[in-house]
Amino acid sequence: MNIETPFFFLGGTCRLFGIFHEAEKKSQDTGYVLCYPFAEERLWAQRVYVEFARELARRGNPVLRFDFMGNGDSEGKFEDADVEIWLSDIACAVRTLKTKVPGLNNVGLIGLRFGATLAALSAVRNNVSRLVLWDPVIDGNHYMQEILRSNLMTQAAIFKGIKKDRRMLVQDLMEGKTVNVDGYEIGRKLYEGISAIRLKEEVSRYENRSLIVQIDNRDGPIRERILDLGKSIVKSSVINVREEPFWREIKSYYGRAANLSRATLEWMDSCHG
Amino acid sequence: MVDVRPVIIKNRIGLSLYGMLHTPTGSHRRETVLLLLSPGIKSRVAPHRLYVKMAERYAKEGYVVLRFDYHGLGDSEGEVKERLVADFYRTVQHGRYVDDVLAVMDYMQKEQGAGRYILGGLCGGALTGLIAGSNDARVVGLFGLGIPVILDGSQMDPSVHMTDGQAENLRQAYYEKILDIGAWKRFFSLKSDFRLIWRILKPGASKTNMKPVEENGGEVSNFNPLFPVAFQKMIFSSRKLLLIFSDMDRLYWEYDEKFWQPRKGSYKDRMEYIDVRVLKNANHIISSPDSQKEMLAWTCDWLKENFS
Repeated sequence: MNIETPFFFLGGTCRLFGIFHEAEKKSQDTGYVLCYPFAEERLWAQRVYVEFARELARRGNPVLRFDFMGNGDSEGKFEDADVEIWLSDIACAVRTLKTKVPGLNNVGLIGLRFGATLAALSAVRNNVSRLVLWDPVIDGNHYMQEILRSNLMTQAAIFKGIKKDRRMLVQDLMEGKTVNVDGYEIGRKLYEGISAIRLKEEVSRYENRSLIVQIDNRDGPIRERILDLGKSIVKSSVINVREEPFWREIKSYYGRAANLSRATLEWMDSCHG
Repeated sequence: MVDVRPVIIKNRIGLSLYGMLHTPTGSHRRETVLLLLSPGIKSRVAPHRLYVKMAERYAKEGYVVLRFDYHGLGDSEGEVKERLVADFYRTVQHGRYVDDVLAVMDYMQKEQGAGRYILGGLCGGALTGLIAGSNDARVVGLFGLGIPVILDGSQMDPSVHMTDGQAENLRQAYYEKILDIGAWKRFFSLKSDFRLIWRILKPGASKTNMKPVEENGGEVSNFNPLFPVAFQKMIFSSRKLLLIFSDMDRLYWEYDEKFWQPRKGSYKDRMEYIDVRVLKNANHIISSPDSQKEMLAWTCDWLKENFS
């Protein structure tokens, strides 16, 4: 029987919402903090997170999954968020999990997409004991351009044309205005913070064990960028897992990602936690 | 000030539903409780946290607001077994979550002594509210954003049941693509939907080709037979309805052409209970801040006029 407790805790700048999954048995000495992906991807991926957190709790790992400032049920406005605030949120979540489980020896971070990127950046600073990156965003600038493209698509659908192209949107951001992406207002600090991320260069100092998963709806090959990231982290395993991109709107209903879950648990078994 | 706290509510089959309760702490607190019903898959938060913003606003107006996850969705217990989203949506349109809404009202009645409810929601949340409300006198009003009147499903071909508004919109889009090289490339590489293109552009394609709507659903129509029944019950039992649509959303055409135009005569003496509005330059999820602002103003005005 899963015991799950919803609660608010203090994050970097405001109250954050989290759900604590108590371990069903005391067989593992590693607890995990689950970091959600960015904006709407969080909503599409939520159920996969919930099911995986329950799986971990059954296995004996206590889990805290939480919403970053300005996301989900947490306080704060999305337009006020930036990368540093979200990194401090992870640090607070790690501390909170340790408080919830006295005597917990190790804490690992798990993230998907930009949640994985933030987990990796945080792991370097906080020296967590395990790191699981599900299809991480490696090049922040490239990712940000993809996000801006979503704004252009919305413009095309509503106005039957583009009123502001990508250059004008960036100009707006530089002038301190926000840019709306699927209903989320992105501010300059967040835009610049994400755009500046080159994950490969920033995680090379991480020395504990990590798993990097490429999620693809075909069987490999693993992309060069993912392989390069793996090479930059000393104790990393890089694998390909076959799943649909469940963090987007797709035709299939994704209540759980069975292959991803199995591969991650096997890796955890291999490193005893 | 508003107190926001998580709650766990047992539904009628014993599964835990996770919710967030927004309670005004000042003297302006009202007795009527507002339930925000989850749209489709996207949990109690809703697209771009729309329900968080709505709950904050309505709580400031003095309403106790509860938004929660249906069983099998969001943080709640349970499971969704459908493999395709369209098939899942169809079950929602058949009233899959009505019992969860009733269980939440029972909980609020027991815990807070609340006896009057206004239901609100986007898309599937609005429809769930309409079906639930039509059979429960505790519900005094409903506001729906982009309420669907049709049934989804993986076996449905939406182009067969297209409304005139949708067809005209697509026709214009095809005409605009005549000089688009990319569109012709897709056409000649057989990636286009030729059946749909033929249906839209064939000579004489117009509303005369629209198949008649039959209220028993079936193969003739994709119209949801539960919709007109629930709508009628709400209106003829003198409950207020506010329906807000986005002008760039096919759901508005579907509501207007498949439901309202054929039936408006039946409601000519009940128009004081029906308020339908359309947001300009808005999409289904109301993503632009201007549209959100307008929608919030309309709903707050409607609440004030009808339930103060």
